[in-house]
Amino acid sequence: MEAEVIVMSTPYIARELKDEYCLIAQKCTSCGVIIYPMKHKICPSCGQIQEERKEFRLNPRGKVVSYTVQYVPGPGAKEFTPPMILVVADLEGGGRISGILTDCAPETVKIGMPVKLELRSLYTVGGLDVYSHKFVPLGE
Amino acid sequence: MQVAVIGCGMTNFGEHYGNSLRGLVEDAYLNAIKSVDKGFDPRDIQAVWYGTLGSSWAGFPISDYTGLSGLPVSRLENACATGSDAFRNACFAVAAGVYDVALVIGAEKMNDEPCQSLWDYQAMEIWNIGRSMPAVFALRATRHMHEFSTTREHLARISVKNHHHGALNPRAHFRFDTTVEKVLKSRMISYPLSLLDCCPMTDGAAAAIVCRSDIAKRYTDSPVHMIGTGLSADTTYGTITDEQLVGFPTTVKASREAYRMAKLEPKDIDVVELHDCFTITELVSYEDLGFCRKGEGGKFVAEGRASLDGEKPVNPSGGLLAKGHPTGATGVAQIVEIFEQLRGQSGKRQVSDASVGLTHNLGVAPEGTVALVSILRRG
Repeated sequence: MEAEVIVMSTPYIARELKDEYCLIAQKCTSCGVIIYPMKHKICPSCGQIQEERKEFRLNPRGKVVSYTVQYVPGPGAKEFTPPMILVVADLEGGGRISGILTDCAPETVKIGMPVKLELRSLYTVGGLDVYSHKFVPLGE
Repeated sequence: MQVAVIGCGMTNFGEHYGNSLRGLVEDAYLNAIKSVDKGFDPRDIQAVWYGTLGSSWAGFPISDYTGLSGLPVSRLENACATGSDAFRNACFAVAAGVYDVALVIGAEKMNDEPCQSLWDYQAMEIWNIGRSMPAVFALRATRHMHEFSTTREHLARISVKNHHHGALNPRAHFRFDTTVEKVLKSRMISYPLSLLDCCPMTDGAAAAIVCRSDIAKRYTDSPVHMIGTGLSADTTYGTITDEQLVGFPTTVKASREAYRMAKLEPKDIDVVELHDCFTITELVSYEDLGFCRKGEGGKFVAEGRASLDGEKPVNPSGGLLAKGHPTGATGVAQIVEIFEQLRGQSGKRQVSDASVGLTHNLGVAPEGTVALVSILRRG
């Protein structure tokens, strides 16, 4: 029996999850790049200092830009069991987001496939049930 | 001030369960001293740069391992480009006229205590959720295949080529030939990358001695001069751009800086050691280093242009795929290979009449990338 290794920090969860639940991103006031999920005072893309944090509500619908299927256990939580599909998707209205694609057969994932972000259980760590978004197939 | 490399040494790369980090560093350091043609007194060393990603948490163990107690030792960490950055900073100190002779050591013990905790931690955060290192590169491979009709066969050819080179290298971790069919049928790790598309977990150390070019002849009649260096770091955190999904813009920037400093172009490079942590990394690096156009990396390897007898021999050592990838040692070991290639000391894997060599060392994490390119010329 392997002991659970707690690698997640509870301050991180407290700090970030509110925005993750509501899909609140930040839009650079200069170049317009959409940053998710953490808050930035300086745009990582163009370097512009952000006088105020301009919130941007992500549209959960998007299309797969690239993907991989992990056939070996990945790092992180014990819940990340193979095969696990990981995608990068462009959301309608802006934002390029990475995440787990679930409820999908690995052999059916393809670039251009419509997907949607849904609030799902991610893992349990240190007695905390952590929820955030996963992608699911939207159907043609 | 110009900078020359006068001696280089390394350990065999592999799974050194019977050797400690200290033992590996000692072996690489002693081999570097022994390689100096006219002999070398360690008391000539004035400063040390030590590259390790996670095997030590400071620089001072090197004072202990080398017996150079009291000298300045700086420990450097810059992801998988750590070793090259240690080399670069030692060269800068010599070029600035601060020291006449400096030692560079890169070392990593990957198989004793894998430094997994940070990676585990990051894989719990939503922006990087669940990603292994192969997955980070596989996401680029899938996109490159989609945009440029690159195939898994193209990737497999890189594995076949580098394993062939590794079979000729007595210091390589893997010394066997493979075939395209075997690569394609090896266990899938993170689609489209299978086991033989991935580098192994390797222990090893490498060392280089650098000095002012104008005193190099005291130590050897055939020094190798460091004539160009470039480094670039970027972010993929906020959003990953289209360019970052099919290559590494940091490789483009670092190489252009190095070419400009060396007053050379990609066509002038005779031999290359580049960062093939996965086959896709080598394929996009042909493009990003300017050896072919974006999207033509698959064709470049399929035509044999990167083979030992091709127009642009890439990874004659076997690269990370076959020689192995002890992270902090990798960049220094690339310098070792180019040093020996330019001096005609590479045995069965010798590139004929090589006078200019290039090393490319890449660090990739979910939040960004760092690339480092060095150009060396036979003295």
